[in-house]
Amino acid sequence: MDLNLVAVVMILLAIGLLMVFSASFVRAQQSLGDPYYYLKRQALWAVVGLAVMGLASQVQYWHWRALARPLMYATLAALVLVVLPGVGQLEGGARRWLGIGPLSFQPSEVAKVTLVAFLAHHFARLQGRMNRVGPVLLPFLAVVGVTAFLIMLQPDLGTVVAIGATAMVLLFVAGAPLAYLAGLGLAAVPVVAYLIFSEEYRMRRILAFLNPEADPQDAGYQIIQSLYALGSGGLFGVGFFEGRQKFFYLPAQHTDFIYAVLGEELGFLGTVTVVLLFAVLAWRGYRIAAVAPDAFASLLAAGLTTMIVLQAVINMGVVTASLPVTGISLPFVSYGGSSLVVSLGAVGILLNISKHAQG
Amino acid sequence: MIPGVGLRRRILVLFLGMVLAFCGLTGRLAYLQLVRGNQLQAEARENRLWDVAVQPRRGAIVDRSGRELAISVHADSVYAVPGEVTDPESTARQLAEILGMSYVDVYQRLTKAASFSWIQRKVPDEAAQQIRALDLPGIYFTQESRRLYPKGELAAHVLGIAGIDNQGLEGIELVYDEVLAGVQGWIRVEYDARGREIPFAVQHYVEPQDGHTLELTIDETIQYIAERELDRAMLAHQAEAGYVLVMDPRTGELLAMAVRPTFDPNRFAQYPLEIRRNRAVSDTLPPGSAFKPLTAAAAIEEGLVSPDTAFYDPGYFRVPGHTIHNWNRQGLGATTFAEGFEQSANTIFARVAVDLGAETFYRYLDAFGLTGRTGVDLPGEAAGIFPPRSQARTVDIAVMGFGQTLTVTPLQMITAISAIANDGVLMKPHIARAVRNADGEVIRTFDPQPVRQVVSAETARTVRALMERVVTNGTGTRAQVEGYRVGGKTGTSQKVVEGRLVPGRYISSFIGIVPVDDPRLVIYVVIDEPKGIYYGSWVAAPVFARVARDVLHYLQVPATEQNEVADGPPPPDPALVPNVVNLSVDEAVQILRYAGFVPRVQGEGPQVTAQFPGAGVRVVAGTTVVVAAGGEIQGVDRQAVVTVPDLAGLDRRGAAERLAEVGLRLDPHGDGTAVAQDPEPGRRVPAGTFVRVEFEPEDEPPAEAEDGSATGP
Repeated sequence: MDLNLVAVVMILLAIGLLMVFSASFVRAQQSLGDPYYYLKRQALWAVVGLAVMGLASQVQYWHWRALARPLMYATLAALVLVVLPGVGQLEGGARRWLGIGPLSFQPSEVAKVTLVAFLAHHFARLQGRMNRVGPVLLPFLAVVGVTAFLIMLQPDLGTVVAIGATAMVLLFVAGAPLAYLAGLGLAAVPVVAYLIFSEEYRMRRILAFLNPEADPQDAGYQIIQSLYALGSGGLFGVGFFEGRQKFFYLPAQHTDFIYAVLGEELGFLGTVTVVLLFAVLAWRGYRIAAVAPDAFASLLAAGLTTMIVLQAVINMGVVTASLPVTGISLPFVSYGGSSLVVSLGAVGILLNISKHAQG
Repeated sequence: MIPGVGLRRRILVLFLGMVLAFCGLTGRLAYLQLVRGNQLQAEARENRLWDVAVQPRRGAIVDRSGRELAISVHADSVYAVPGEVTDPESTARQLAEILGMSYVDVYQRLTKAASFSWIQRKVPDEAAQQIRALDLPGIYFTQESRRLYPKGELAAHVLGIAGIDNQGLEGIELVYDEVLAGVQGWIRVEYDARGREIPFAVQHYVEPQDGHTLELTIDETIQYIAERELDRAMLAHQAEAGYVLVMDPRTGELLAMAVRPTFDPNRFAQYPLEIRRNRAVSDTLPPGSAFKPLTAAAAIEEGLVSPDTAFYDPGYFRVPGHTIHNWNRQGLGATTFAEGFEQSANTIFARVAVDLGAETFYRYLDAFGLTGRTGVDLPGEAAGIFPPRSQARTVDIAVMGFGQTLTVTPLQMITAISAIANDGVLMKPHIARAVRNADGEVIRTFDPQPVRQVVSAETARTVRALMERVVTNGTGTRAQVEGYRVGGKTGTSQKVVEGRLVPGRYISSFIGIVPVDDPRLVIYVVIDEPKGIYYGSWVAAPVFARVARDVLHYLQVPATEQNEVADGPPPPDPALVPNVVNLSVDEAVQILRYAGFVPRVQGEGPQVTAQFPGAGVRVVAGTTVVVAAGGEIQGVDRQAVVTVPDLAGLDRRGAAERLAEVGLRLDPHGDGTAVAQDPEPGRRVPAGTFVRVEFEPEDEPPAEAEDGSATGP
């Protein structure tokens, strides 16, 4: 079992808990009267997530191959349910949560893993025949397309971007001819363009990304405040807990922009440490994929690793104003139960695959 | 099925791609946090920091003896942090009631999308206390200072006004704003995006520096006297406007500057700008015959005439296209320049001006400072207006010789005549005397500034002698002051509106120097558009006499003469006001006239229902008595009734000062300290009433009998 991976994840998780507390206590105190509210919940989810990770590491990976298809269908069903009025829980203008008893979870988070498992299974079956358009692309397009479509209904562009990008990466890793990738890329252009132009806020985000100062009070606001936070951190940061930008200047300070709070409080050393941790995670994850015992395990490991690392890269890209604002959280660090449990579950699967490594 | 080499290679490519992304991110982070770090940090702090201004206390304005004319008192300002206001509706209701604001206004301020919102600034203490007691969430106080003019209308036009943000807007407040304002301080507080202080945040306090105290040349008592007499004249003659200026000719210091109509600077917003303007410096008027001393000075200095120069005055003087007449169309016949001056013969002055020639005449206008601004330290000063010198026709020069066609500001006029009083040296008029710091130390003085020698001391003395003759024998006899030698000149000019003479509208004036043999004061009285009688000799000269008399007493200028004042109101002849209430209006008017008062009737009823002053009060004969025919007396200031103060133990100056404060006049008898007075203390009498005070020498007379001059250095 890859203990390096476990160590990296545990460090990220610890940093995450500390940052969630530092970033959220002001908001928690003022709106909920309990500064530890978010910390307590995140800690609880971490415990749950670690349990899921441990469990997943014990489940032999090939069981996922057998379950890939049914899990995919169940996920799609859940995605349909969640957008039905009265079933999905509405929060912030989006229906993302399904409630089961006292718990609620996001089917779109689960979809990240089940889709990767499904595609890994699909491409593993087609190894050696990856140049056949029909069998390779049609199921791929159908499943990815339907999943993306359902998630767009919530709407949750960030997750769609993460899922879409991961699917493309898997297509590449599985050995599809580059022409397919190029073709799909070209075909995606009008779709993406439509998605951007059809919603005014997305349009504004793009414009704000290109020139944040043009609209500092509105769309450019979060980008500018994020840069203020990072810049204020300098090399060593203003000190843990000492950040100022989290005082309502930064939007989503404990979720999508937690990396900015981290940058302010822990400085360049802190932000680069996080980059390095994800780089180590990528290294360990792709190493597990490279030495996996079979194509399915290899593709599954590569897909899950990509899923996690890509989200981290996009999140950090948004916070540093290198990418337009999309709404993707930083795995293991951002506040959010479903994401944390799913990410830790994915790590559990990776750990199981690592046990079967072919030296 | 072991993954193939291709799969491994592609995974490596993928990993390298990720590494590339991580490198890019690291570079980006280094750029943002290390290269642009300082700049972004500064911008972020600007974004979060809030500088809360701490207003300095504006410096006081005091008179030449340190008596306060304008002061600043602390006042609370109420503001809201809208995000913290829990119940805007009830809060708005309570605040609106206490502060006398509209509910909607307060509500809007409470719910403004801002982290800070003024509710009302500089609220009265009582209201602040009430609001404090309510302990409303989101409502806070900050201390500011509020300008207070404790003497109300006194010297309002000189003082001007200061705005709510401690900024001088008019008058001395404007000119010396830099001295008075002080330096604003700051509290720098770091706020969160919702306007709350961030705990343990940057805090920085820069203490404000309070403004300096400005000491004026104005003497509060003299100003009181000038305003009191001007008010009386305004009421008696129902004039449109009026000015009384008092200057120390030796220094150019303005001791008083009274302007009517006036305003209360404490409530300046209620008055139109037109009234707040200091028209004594911003408006020009035709000086009329009061100008003649200047023509005379020029002619004597040029050797053109002497007092004994013989003239033949047929009663007219012809210039190309025009004939100039004397006011009564009478000629003096064979006469002298001195007599022509005494009788204010226009014909003679027209001829002298024409003989001087345009170039010389204009040279003297320049020299007396009439064509330019005096440079006084008051805002909005105007310069005199004259026919353009290149186009001046003979008739223009002739008419200017007796003060028509040209217009000058009252300030220019008194400044020019002061040069005659000051042996020919023109002084720059000024109104600021010294600047004192918080410890009372003088940190800057404004010294007298001679401008130029306009005429010789000899010429100036000659002109003063001519002016004295005007008062002893000529048109200015009503300006005589018992015990002092007075020189002066009356003026009656037709008003000029849009460059044309307006028939039936006059300006009466008198300018005088006292004591004329050793000038201490120049007093200029202008009554704009008196109703009824309009000659300066009747309207303005008595005002001069009363002001001069009271000021001379106040300054304890030793009386030198045993002259009997020829006629006119002074010496005061206090008479009992008869009771006319319940009489018919006609009867009342008759009785008042008979008793020597000037009746003025308000209303149209058949019977007198009220009178002011009331019956039994002793006031000067000639005082206007207002009677109401039906209803109450209208328009007589409530302040016009005053309480007689206790003067026991005071010297002459002290008594004059105490009386002037409440608007009463001193009728002194004897020297020393006050031992008896009439009316007795505590009585309610109309302002302007004479209080007869008996003074008796103390056992040990004060060592410095002479000094006590408020105008000395």
